[in-house]
Amino acid sequence: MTSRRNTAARWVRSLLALSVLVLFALVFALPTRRWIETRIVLSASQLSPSLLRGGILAAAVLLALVSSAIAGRVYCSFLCPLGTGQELLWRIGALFRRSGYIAPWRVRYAVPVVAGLGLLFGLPLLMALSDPFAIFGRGARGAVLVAQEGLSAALSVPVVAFLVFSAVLALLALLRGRRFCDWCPVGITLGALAKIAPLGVHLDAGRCVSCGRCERACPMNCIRVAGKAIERDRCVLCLSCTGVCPTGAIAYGSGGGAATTRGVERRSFLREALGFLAGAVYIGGGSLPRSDALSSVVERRTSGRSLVLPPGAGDGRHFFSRCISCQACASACPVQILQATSVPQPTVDYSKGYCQFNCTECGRVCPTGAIRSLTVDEKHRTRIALSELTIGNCVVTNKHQACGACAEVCPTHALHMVPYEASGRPGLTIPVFDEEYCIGCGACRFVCPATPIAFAIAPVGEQSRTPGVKETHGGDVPALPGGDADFPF
Amino acid sequence: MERREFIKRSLALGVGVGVLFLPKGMGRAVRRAGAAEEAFPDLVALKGAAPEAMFDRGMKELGGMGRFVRKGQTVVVKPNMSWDTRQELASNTSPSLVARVVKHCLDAGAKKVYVLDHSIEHWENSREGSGIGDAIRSSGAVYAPAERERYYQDVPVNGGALARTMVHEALLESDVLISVPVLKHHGGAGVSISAKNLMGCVWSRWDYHSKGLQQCIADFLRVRKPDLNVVDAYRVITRNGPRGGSPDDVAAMGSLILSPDIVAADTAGSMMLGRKQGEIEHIRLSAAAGFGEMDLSKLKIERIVL
Repeated sequence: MTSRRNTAARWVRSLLALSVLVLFALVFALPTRRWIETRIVLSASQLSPSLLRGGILAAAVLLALVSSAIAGRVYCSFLCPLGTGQELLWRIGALFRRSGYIAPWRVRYAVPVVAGLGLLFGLPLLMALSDPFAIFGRGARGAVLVAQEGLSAALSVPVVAFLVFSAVLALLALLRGRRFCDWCPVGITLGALAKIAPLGVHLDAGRCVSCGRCERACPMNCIRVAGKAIERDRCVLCLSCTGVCPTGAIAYGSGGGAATTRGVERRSFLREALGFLAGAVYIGGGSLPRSDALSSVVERRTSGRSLVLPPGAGDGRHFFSRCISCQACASACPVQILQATSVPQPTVDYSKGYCQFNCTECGRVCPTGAIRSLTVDEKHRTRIALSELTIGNCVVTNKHQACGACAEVCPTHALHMVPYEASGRPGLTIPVFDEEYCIGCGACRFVCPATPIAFAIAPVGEQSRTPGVKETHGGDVPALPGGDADFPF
Repeated sequence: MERREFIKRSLALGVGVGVLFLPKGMGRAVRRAGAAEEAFPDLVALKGAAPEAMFDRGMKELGGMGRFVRKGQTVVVKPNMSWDTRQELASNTSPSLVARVVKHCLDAGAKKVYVLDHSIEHWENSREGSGIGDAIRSSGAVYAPAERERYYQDVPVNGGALARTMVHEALLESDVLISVPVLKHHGGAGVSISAKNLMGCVWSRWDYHSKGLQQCIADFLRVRKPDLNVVDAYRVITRNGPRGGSPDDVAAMGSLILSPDIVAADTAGSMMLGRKQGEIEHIRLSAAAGFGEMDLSKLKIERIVL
């Protein structure tokens, strides 16, 4: 007779966790507009970005907190792509060696505290460094860039940092399991609640024969057979232990009043208090009104770098106080012009292409609100940069050749072609530029065939509104030819 | 019967019988060439109905799609779907017309009909935004991806400005090319009709602008001349072309032009935009290089108002 417990739950959890991981990997690997809804739902499901966007009242935050307080770290169990990713690697590593209980360092409680305080002062740096979704996003993005463009083309300084960070985490996971989860601000916050939750994984000391299988099967390394204890604040409900226990001593549930691990819990009162405190600072930092003391410093420091922010980012102060560099926008951009080239936050790289007039994907997928979601009409009127025309470089003035490529692609008619009478060539037209209507999309620069290119794109400090599409009724061509005749030939 | 006469008669009989036993398609072509070619108009201009209805009627006048597409052949239908703009703004060919052209090809026995365009705005946004994506899927055509260099092959052109260019592989592999442009004003080229439309078959389209747009457009015809030109003049951008972007730029002409002669089709189209015969440089250059007839008075034109 087998006494193993929770078999169905274990399978459901594994399948769920794996499908979420695969979906995340897919949306990062395939920039196509058909996945846009999946992208939005996936990134909105993540706790830290939702906290930045909506504070404690954001649906994803409330759900994670409440579910943890009732049923343990359900969120970490299947919704975190980084957690599942580590676990997968550990399972591969476990084919060769298995680790036992690992005591975590108490200093880890500082992570959510510092991250939360940083948010209060407008600097999401530590959240960016420690949030599991942001870490997963950067790793996935780095890998996809290398796969798409080759090693040498993809490697900017930030992308190298993404890859090195992910490689270290991957190695750690391969050898030691879900090690990052002990340091995760989300995990620590939810762990504090999981500890007081009525439901969780319980070990019935009376039935335990101290065989040690559970300890070796735990990817969190949070089971100590010697003390017959499961550290429930660290348990992510993978249920591996329930599947290996030969006596059925471990099971998910309310514990049923069995003699569990009270002694150990009392001794860890300090840790419990620390966990609550750290979690409270983290959630509070994201929920309370923020000062922009530190983000304006970042804005000043980056203003010399001529960065063009994604449409909807507003200004550096808004953008840098919210972006955690998860790369969701960069992976959703259909023309891949959002790149972490000089800073880890994605900015516009005009060498890759130009910002598509009707496209609003980056703002739609941004889970933190660093890039506001624009309507198509707002997008048409949002200036992210400003083009500059050097008419002396233009092929029309240089070679007296017909071109018009810039006016052809200019979506707002800031550029249009007028007869070039000075050339003496009938029919030859030359571009004129009306700065007021320029939105800085970079289309003119991208298509300009001249060498050197006749256009340069200059950053603007703050994104502003333009009047929209210019009405040009100049009429190079009569409106309706042919008079009353059906055909003019 | 003299010997000489006998030989003559035998030869004549041989040729006659030979024609009867020619491979199916070829025989039909030879028979057509002899019998009906002169009866078909060189150009059909229609007005006053939906694009697909005008196309049906126009093809009847031209002798049906079977004249251009034979059983088992592969066809490229080249619409303009370069822009992510909605149908009313007329930057792209009408989707219903594209679907109808594809249907005629498949009905004529085409093995495969590709639809392609090296778009200017993002390929997927343009394909779906123009509505032609739906037309491709519903009509049974095959979308040929065109957004990467690997779909193109370098071919010699030996034109006045273009020595070589990268041409889409589907075009190089296909038996028949049908150009289905939308008629519109163009800030650089003057007008954008069938010859300008073929710029969407090459990879290095910005090359044209640096080497001389007008000459390059004409040069491409050395690579491939369309077998049939279907000019959509239902909604027409009369200024701020080729993108347009405002309903004010669009005139409701409700017309369609069909011709196997690209120079004739483009000349007629340019005249609908108020240009004079010979005014547009790339049309003039194409005519001078012998790709068609610019003087419409020399052609048999069928004008139909529905």
